[in-house]
Amino acid sequence: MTNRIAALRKERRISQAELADAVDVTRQTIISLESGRYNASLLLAHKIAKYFGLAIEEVFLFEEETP
Amino acid sequence: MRQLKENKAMQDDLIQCAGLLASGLAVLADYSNLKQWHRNISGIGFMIALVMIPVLIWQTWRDKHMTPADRRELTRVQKDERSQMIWSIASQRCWEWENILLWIALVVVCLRRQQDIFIVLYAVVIVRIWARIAIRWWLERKY
Repeated sequence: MTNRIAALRKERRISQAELADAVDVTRQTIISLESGRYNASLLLAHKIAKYFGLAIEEVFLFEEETP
Repeated sequence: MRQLKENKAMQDDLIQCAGLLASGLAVLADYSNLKQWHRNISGIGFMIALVMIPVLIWQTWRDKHMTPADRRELTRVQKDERSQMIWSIASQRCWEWENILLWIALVVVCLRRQQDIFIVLYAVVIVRIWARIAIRWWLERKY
């Protein structure tokens, strides 16, 4: 799963700390999400998408795993 | 380093580890002759208390004098889903290493014919396995 958090944040000039505050997680979590080292839970994905005013699938891009 | 500065829960863990390490070193420094340990058990307890009690007092004092912003930050770090995932993986790893160490300790104690210690260690092994099964069963029912 990839996401557009870093791009959306830069587009709207929001810092990692501000986003972390808004969705009630630590800044480290935002850093890990942006770098793709950590996948958000459904609840956090929903909070982040809501913060940007977008649908979850517009922020988080799900890729089908090929066998 | 910045991560440590921001993460108060991790700071607490580190302070407690440092306290335990310091008390362990203090005990070793004072009781370097291992054969005397069984005669000085109250002294060992005193040494551990001497280091750990100030640490606990300091932590209590700090918790009481925390600003609302600091308290919110600490709650956030504890509730953060990534922190909880890391905590759960760390606990699992510790459980595995504790098992290995406990079984090694059991073999060593058995070979040295220290029956009392063997019984205590064996009880610890059994109780923790049953406690884990019981907690898992309870969590399976809950979720």
